[in-house]
Amino acid sequence: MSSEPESGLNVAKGPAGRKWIDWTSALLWGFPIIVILFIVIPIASVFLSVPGSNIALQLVNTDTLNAIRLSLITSTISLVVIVCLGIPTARVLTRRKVRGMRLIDTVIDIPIVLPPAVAGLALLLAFAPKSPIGAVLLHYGIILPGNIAAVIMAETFVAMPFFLRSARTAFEEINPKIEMAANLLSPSSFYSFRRIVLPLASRGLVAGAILAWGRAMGEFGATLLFAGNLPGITQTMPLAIYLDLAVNIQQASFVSCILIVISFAVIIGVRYVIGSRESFGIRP
Amino acid sequence: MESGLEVDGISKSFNLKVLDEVSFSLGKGTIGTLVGPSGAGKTTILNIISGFIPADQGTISIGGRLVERAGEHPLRVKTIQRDVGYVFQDHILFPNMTVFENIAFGLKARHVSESSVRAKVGGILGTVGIEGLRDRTPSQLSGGQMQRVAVARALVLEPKLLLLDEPLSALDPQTREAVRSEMKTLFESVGTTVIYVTHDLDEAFFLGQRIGILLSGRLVSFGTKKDLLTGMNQPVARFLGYNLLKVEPRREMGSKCTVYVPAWDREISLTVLSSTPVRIGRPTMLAVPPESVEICQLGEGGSGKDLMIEGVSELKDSVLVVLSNSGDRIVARVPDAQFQRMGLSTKQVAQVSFTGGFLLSDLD
Repeated sequence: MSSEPESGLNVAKGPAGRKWIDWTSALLWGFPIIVILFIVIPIASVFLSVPGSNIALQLVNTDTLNAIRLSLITSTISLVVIVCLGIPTARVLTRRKVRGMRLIDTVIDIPIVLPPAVAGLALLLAFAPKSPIGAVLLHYGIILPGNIAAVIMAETFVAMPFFLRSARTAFEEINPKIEMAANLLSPSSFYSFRRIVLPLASRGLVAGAILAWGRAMGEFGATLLFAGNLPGITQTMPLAIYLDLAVNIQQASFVSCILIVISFAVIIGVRYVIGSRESFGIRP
Repeated sequence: MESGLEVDGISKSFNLKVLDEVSFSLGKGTIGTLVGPSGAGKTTILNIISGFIPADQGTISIGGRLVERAGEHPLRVKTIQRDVGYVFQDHILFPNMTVFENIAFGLKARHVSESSVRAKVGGILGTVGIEGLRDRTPSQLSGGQMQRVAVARALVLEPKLLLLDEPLSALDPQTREAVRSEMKTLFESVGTTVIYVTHDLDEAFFLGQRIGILLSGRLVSFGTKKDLLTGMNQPVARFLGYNLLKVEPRREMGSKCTVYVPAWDREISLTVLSSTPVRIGRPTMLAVPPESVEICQLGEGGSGKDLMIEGVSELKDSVLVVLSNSGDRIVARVPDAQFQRMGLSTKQVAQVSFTGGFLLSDLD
């Protein structure tokens, strides 16, 4: 019996040479088609709801421009904070046997599963002026809610675990003997880290950074509750969409289109980086 | 002779004891090989000498300097300060660097000037014979080339002690033989003290000026090839695959000795290869290398014992013949042509005698 798997469906020739279809295989293909349509149709609807002639008009809207600018600034600063804190954290947690590692793992992963609104409320309760920390900050004239710093904190809070996960995997995949060899040859462990470990983990780190940045760009709930929705101050693109939804759905769609394009770019970026991972330094 | 390495009473446990009071010493510039089966503790002793893991007991000195002392007043010199080079089993090179950069890594980490780095790396590339590979990355090298680079990377720092953990085990037999010869010449020319760990007996005897046999965490023998053979003991004989029989020496004439084999109820005459004094009338163990077992067809007039051929295994240029009689098992290694001439096969009875053997000092 001959089959043609490259067509996706198993098509075989019967005794009389008549082609017949493997219906089980055909039915199975129905599931991914439903899933793909479930994703593509809403995204296409967003693009279709933006009339072409409106694009230029929407672009000159100050609030939209401010939202794009703020999103780019805050997500980039968040990313810098995430990378600066995340690399040493991931490194320490990868090679050191720490007591209570499972608890540490769980704590680090909490923001991934925590509803963003809860994350925002938690940040608000911890850093609002009425909280003990907030009171100390207030003493120095710092009020976080309604401040761009609150946006960065909210984005860092929700996006950090994405980078940490990827960074830890990247460090774990390096053959420990490579590090042993480097430490045997170099008097400075930082030199070994900089010249050997970091380059070997770089692709995983970059992939994690792209994911974290994408998550920060799309942050909504935590930012809304902790930082507020103040145009030009704390209003990022997702918040602008939320506000525009009530007054101008075309503008909301336009900003959504930008976020969708960014999301696509993030996925393509991650795929490119992960896809280009060479075998070097990666344990089989 | 100036001391290269002194290992004294080193023990180590990981729930189970992996090293049990291992002691040996090597003079400066001596090549020592440690041979033993998997799980004998070979890599563990290297890891303790290099400082990767601490010893539970004992002391280690490298080049006359104490670097490890376990016990009441512990001392542990850091790995990097022990002046040790290490070549791993699976030729661990830095995959993100060229051959030149790999070798230069340790020098650059020590802030050696660029011109000096170039000169030293160029020199060692020439010594190891890999000048043409300097700009290649590890993925462009064969197994043998990678191992040469790993050795060059360790030697460029001119360590007092070079440790090699089964460096040739991943190579094909032809390459292994070639690299083995190169390494011997290289080690002898650079004059570094070397500890070379292997499970290959031929490799251990070929490379080692001192050979240690490590079995189940115990160093059962350490010395020159001559020391090892003349001072043979039962664990070593078993590891070397020698036949062991309980015998009673009856008469001694020069290097020849007649021994009574109780299991065979017969006297046999053979050349004594060991240096321990023959104790006439005292039961002792006889270790016979398979090469010293002679077999012939029945009725050819020998004074040996009749044993049945249980199995025949063809080797490259010889045949391993397993013979037995009521539980006693003797392995003979016979040249191919000789075995063919005899026309013997499995389940036939052959006459067995010994040309030489080691009379061991320990009976148990």
